[in-house]
Amino acid sequence: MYKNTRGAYLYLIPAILLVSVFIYIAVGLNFYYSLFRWNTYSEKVWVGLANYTRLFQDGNFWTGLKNNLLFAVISVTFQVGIALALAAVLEQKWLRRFGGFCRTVLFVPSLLSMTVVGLMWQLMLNPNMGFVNKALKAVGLGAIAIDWLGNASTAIFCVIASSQWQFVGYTMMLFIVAIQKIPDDFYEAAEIDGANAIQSFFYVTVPNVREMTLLNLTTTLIGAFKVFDEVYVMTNGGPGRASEVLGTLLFRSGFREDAMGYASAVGAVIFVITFALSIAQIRMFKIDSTGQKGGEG
Amino acid sequence: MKRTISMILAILMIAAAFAGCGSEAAAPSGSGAPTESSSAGGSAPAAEGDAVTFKFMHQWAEENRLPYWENLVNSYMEANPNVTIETEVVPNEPYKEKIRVMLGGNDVPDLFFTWDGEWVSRFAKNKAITELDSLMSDEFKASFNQGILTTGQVDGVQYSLPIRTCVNFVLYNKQIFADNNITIPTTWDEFMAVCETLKNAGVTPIALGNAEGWAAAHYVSALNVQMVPWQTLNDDYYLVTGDFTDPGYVDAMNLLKAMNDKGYFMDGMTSTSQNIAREMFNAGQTAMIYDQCASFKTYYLDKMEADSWDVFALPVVEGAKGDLDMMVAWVDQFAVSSTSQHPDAVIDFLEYFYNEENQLQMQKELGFVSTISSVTGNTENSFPQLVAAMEIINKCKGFISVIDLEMDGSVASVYQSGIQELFTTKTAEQIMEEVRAEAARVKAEQ
Repeated sequence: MYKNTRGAYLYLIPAILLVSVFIYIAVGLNFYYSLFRWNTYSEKVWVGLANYTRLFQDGNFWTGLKNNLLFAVISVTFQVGIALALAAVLEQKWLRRFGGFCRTVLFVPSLLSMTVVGLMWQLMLNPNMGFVNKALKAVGLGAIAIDWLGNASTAIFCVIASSQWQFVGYTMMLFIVAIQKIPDDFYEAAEIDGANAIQSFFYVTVPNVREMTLLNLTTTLIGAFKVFDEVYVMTNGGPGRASEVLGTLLFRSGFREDAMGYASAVGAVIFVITFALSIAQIRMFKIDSTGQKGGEG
Repeated sequence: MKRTISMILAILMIAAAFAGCGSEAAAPSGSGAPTESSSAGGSAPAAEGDAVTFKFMHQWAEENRLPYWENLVNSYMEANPNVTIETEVVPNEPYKEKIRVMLGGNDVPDLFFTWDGEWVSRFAKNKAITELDSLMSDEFKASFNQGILTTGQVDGVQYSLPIRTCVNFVLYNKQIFADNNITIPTTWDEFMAVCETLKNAGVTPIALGNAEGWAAAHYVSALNVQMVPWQTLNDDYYLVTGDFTDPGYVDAMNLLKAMNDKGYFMDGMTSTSQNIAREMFNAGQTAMIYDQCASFKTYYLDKMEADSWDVFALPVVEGAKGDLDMMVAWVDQFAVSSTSQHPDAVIDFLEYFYNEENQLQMQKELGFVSTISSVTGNTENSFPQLVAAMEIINKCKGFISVIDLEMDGSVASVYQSGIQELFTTKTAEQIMEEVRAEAARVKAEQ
């Protein structure tokens, strides 16, 4: 083993410098900037924590947070729960013949650009020329054929739905990889013990893809709080501010209302939330990896 | 030995990382080699042979508008071989964000399009744009319609130059009106009766796409002028008082809401963009649309049969407390960045744009109403709908802009997004409550 530890630090310097310039300093500056009232072309006026007090009194912030939470809950249900179930079904022996085809069909949406998906769904949901309302009317459900993205109570759910449509296939693919790593013996043993398909799913598949579940869970959660593109493209936070998420609130404050300090404060809150989630993720993985090491050693 | 090599490698890597940053920061100052020499000359007039490069940003990206601007820039560069103009075109909606980002960076366009009202005054107050009085000749200044020239002034100082006057009108499909024996309405009640007739005949009365949020706000802007006393309106918009307590504001929104409730607007109004609404009117799928005169040429004249449409002023609400001789209008502007290295060259280009020949060409090709006195009244290259619109504009006594341009950005944002929710979840009273709260907050900050 190479003993020179000082040399190792030397190799780390470039990476540390790059990371600190582009991440740590940027994050620090963001906090600093959130203490001023300013826009891109003005002087900065010190306001202390005023941006934060305004933020916590701002109904749009709470709407945004609520919508992020909705995003998180629904995304976890679909991209972790349903994706795992789909993966398990597609890995069933009797379905393996069509497995490849089904996997591809479900996976393809995640290869598309989010903007394209957003625009596509925007057109599909349009009451004048969209496919969705035409289909609803054709099957006699004309009564619920509303202006999906124009209605404050349905807009955010439509955006979330399009996001699920896009990414369920992706996490499902990750689960499939994890399931394929489970030795067949486990399933055979379960079968001999008299387990049916559902029991072997819960007692063999689920515990054995625990790591992947954790990974998908945290990335989905963090993704739900960082979401921007889908909302920006499909509704731009509208109608009014009904489908605003923290990302679009930040963008609108900074680049539409010339309140960069306020936008920085929103950014800081998003950072705190995603940072807390990341810490949780790192801690959980640490427990897991040390456990594994002990097993191997 | 190994150690020295690794040391050198590590140092090289660090150096490489920072060299990357360095060149990035240095790039904007000299994106083309010829500019290097000129930057030393500072703001000296573009003398012959002195190579000058400046950036020009505007928002007319439509395929039938772009050629005019390309020709203008190219013909200027042909006549002035030492000048290079780098044009960037960003469509209307993204422009609102892009310009703010650019003004904050190192890549500021020397000459750029901006809206009037709050936009110009905010840029001017933050010294993002340069004052033009000292740069313009008296002759150049005198060529403008002096009333309209004031739209580019902040506290009496000229900060931007007006490009075109924009006033909203109701456009209607002549065939549909004739088929249903409809005469042009002049009062709001008549207007509603027309909509009712059309709806009963199975025609969608009005195309309106409010996905971007401004299209419905334009109705409210116009109705505010009718419903709210003129002085109160001004005091509120410019936050002199910022009370917004006049019941006229609520009435104005309720008039619009009633139209939607009765089904006079097309389906999916809130989630459809105004460009799609324009297409629907073009295709004869709706009887009317409310749009501004500077769009007549590009969006209607070029796309519909010549005599198939005409215009009338938005009908008036009888007995309303507002000043019915006033109108909603806004005037788009050109501004010069305060960081421009070559303001004289930019002004020279502007003088070229505002010369009679190019202005006449603009009226002809784009249908913009020129702000140069000698060209404004020229109907030679115009078309009947624009002439009719000009007659209505000329009769009016004064203007106030649309809410999204005239008010403070955050108050306007609350107001405008409130209007978007007016049709589904919010009442007019709730929206005005929010506007009052935001106006009070902004006023306290000032």
